[in-house]
Amino acid sequence: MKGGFSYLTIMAIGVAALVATPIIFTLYSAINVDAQLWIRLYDTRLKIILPNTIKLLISVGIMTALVGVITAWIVTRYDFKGKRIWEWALILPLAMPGYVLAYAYGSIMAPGGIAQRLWINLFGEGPSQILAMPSLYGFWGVSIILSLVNYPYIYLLTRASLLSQNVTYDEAARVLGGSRWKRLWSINIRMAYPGIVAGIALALMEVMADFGTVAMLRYPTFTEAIYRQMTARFDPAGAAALASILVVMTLLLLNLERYFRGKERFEQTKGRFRRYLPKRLSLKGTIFFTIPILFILSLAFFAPLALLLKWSIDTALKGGLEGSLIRFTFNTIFVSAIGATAAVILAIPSAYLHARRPVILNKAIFYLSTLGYSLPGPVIAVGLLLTVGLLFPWLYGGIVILLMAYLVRFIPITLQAEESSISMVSTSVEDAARTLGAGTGRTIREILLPLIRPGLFTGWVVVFVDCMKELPATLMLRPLAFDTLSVRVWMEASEALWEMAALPALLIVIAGLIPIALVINRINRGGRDGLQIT
Amino acid sequence: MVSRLHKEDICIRETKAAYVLLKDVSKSFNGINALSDLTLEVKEGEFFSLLGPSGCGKTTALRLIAGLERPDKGTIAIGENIVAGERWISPEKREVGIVFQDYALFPHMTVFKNIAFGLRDCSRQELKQKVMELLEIVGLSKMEKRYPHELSGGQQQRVALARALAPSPRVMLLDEPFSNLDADLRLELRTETSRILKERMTTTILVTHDQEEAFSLSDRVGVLYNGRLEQVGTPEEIYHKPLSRFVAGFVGRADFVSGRIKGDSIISDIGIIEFKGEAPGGFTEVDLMIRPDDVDFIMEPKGDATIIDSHYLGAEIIYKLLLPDGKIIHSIKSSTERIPVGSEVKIKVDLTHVVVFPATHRFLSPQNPS
Repeated sequence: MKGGFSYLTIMAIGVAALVATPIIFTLYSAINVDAQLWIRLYDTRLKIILPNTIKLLISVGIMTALVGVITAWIVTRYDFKGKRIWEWALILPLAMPGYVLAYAYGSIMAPGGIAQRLWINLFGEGPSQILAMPSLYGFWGVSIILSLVNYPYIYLLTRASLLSQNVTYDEAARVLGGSRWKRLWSINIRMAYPGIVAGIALALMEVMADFGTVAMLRYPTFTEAIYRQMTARFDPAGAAALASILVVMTLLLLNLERYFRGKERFEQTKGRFRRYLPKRLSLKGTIFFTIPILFILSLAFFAPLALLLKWSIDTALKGGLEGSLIRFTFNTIFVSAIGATAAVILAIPSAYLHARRPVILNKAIFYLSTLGYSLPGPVIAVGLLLTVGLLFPWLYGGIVILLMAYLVRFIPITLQAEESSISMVSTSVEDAARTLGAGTGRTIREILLPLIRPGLFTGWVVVFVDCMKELPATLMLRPLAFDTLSVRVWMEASEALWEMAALPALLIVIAGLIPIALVINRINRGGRDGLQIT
Repeated sequence: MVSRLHKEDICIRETKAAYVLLKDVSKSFNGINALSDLTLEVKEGEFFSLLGPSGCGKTTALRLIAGLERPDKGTIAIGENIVAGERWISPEKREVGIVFQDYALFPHMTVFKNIAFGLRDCSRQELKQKVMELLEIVGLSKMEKRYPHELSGGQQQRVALARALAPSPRVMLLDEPFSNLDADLRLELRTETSRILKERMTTTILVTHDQEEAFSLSDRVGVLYNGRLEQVGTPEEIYHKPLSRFVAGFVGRADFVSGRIKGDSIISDIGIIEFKGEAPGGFTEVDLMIRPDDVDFIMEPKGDATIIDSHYLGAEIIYKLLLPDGKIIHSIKSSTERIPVGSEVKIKVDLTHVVVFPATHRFLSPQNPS
C-alpha cells in the first residue's frame, strides 16, 4: 500500500502548513518582543487581564461542574415524568453563543429594560434603590452567562460516563458496607471523573476563547485585550505577545486535563455489563428535581429565546426589517458554506493518512493540523494578519483571509470526524477495491467517501454553524462592508440597538440548533454522545 | 483506467492462469518477523493451501502476493512478471482476486454493482451479461438488486467470490473465506468454491488454519510456522511423512515413542518395527511417530498397556493408553463397542509409513510431547 501516495502526503502537508503557520508565526514574533514592551504590556494590560481571566476560569469551572454533574446525575439515576424531554433539552443552551446571551440579558437589564422596571415596581424608583440593583456588567455577570452556555459540555460527558457505569461496582461497595453518600462520592462520581474533567476542560477552553461575552459585558480578558491591541492601537507586536501567553495558557490547560485523566484507569465493562436501574420518583420528587432543571433551562435558553422571538416579530410587524438583513444573511451563509466545504475537503488527505498509515510523519501532520482548535479566534486573527501581512499582503482585507481563519479554527473538527469515520471502515474493503483494479483515487472516491458520508455530513454541518457563530475573527478579518449575522448582533448590541439585533441573533440560534439536533438524534439511537460535535 | 499488465478486453477474456513465485521473501512488522525467507512456487492452475496456526504469517504471504503489503526483501513473480522486488507493481495492476475473511463487500453497493466494480470498460450489455453469468455460477441468480446486509453469510461469501472472479484474475487468493460460516454451510461452500475454481483452472492459493480444509481441497499444501515454510507437499505427504515434529502434530494427533535403530528395524517400547530408511542425521536414538489410526488393541489381562481415558466422538472413540514406561499414546477405534477405562490391553501397531525424528527431546524433557 505504500508508495504512489505522495500526492496525498503533499496535500496533507499543505493543509498542515496553512493551519500551523499563523500559530507558529505568532509565537515566533512574541519571542522577539523586547523587554520594554513586556513591561508596558504588564502595566497596562496583563496586570488586569491575567487575574481577571484566572478568576473567570475558576468561577465558571465550579459553576459549570456543579450544574453539569447534578443535572447529569438527575437524568441518569432517576426516572420521572418529563425526564425524556429534559434529557435532551439540557443540551439546548449550546445553541446559544455567549454573546447572544450577553446581549439578551444586557437588554433585559439595561436602563428601561424589563428587569429594571420589575425592580422599580418592587423596590421603588428612588436613585438609591435603582443603584442597588445588581449589575450584569463585570465578573459575576460574565461568570453566570458563560456558565449557562457552557455547562452542557460537562452535562453531556458526565451523562455518558454515568450511563456506561457498571452497577456491579456500586453493589460491591454496598456489600462492603459503603454508605449512600460514600458510594455516591467514591464510586459514582469518582468513576465518572474522566468525563467530568474532560467536560470542564472543554468548557474552560470555550471561556478562554470567548470574546463576545466579555467584551459586551466590559470585563477585560485576554481575547478582548488582543482585539483592542490590534484594532484600536494597531500594535501587532503587543497583540502577538498577549496572544502567545494565551496560547501557552491553553496548552497548559490541555495538559492539565491530560494529567488529571491519565493517572488512573477507569475500566467500565470488565465482564458482564449491567446498567443502573433509574429510581422511579414520586410526584414530590419529580417536582423537586424538575424545578431546578426548568430554572436553568429558562435562564439559559427559553427566556432569551422568547425575547428574541418577540423582538423579531415586533420589528417585522413594525416594518423595521432592514433590507440589508438579507444581504447579511446571504454573506453569512456564503462564507460559512465555503468554509465548511473547504474544511471537509481539505481534511480528507490528512484524516486518511492518519487513519490508514499512522507513521510518525502522518501523525505529525495530523497533530499540526489540529493545533488551531484550541486557539481563540483573536489569536488566530492576529496570527493570520501577521503571516499574511508578511507573505501575501495582497490577501489583506479580502474574503480569503477570513476563510483561512475559519479553516485554521475548524479543520480540526472535520479532521476528527473524518478520521474516526475512516477508522471504522474495514481496511479489507479498500484492499478489495484495489485488487479489483481500482487505484487510490478511485478507491477513495467510490468506496471510502460514500462510506463515510455521514461523518462528512456531520462535520460539514458542525463547521457551517460554527462559522456562522464565529465572532472575533470575523470581526477582525472581514472585508470592508462585509457584515455577517454575528457581526451585526455585535454592532447593534454595542450601540444598545437591542431590537435591531434580535433577528440576526435569532437566526444564529436557530442554525445552532441543527447540530444539536444531530447530537440528540445520536443520543436517542443509543450511540455514543457526539463529543466532537460543538 | 489503470493500465493492467495485460491489455486484452476484460469483458471477454478467459482466465489465463499464472504461476506464482516467491523467492526469499521476508516481511516484518514493527521489528517482529512475520515471514522469513519464504520461497514457494505455486504452479499454473494449481489449488495450493497455506496451512498454519494463527500468527504464522500465512495471511501476510497472501497480502504480499496481492500487493497489499510490500516485502522487506525478496522477489515475487506472478507469471512471467515480477511484481515485487526489482520493481513494484501496485495491487490494482496485478490481476489477482481476493476473497477476504470478512468478505469486504462494498456495503453501499448492490450485489450487481459489487460484482461489476472490477469490470471497467465494458458496454452495458456486456456488463449485464457477465454479472448475470457470474451470479448463476455462484448460485445467486436474481439477487443482483440486494444489498450486502440483506444477504446471509453464505450468500455474502458467494458474492465475494463472484466479485473476485469477475475480472478473470490470473491468481485467486482465498483468505480463510469459510471460517465465518457454520459447519454445514462451510462444507457445502468449500466444495462448491473449489469446483468453480477448478473448472476455470484458476491458480488458487487458500490460506487456512484448518488442516481438514486444506487437505480436502488442495493439490498441494504448504505448512507455515513462525514465518517459515516447514514443508510443502501433497496432503498425503504432509500427513503421513511430516518432516518436522511441528507438522506432525499440527496436521493430526501424533504421539512419539522412543526407539533405537538397529539394522533394518527399530526397537521400541511398542515392539520391533521394520525400518528401511536412513537414521535421521545419523542418530540411532530416535522418536517414532505414531498416529492414533496406526494403533489397534485387544482386551487382554496382563497386556502391555492400560486404558486411562476415552473420548466418545460419535463414529469413533479415542482411547488414551498408558505404556509401562509411562509414555502415553492414543488409539482410535470404531465406536461399536466401548471398552471400559482401566482395562488392560495388548497393543498392535501397524505403521504404513514409518516416521522418525532424532530423539533430542529426551534430553530436554522426559515427558511425551503430546
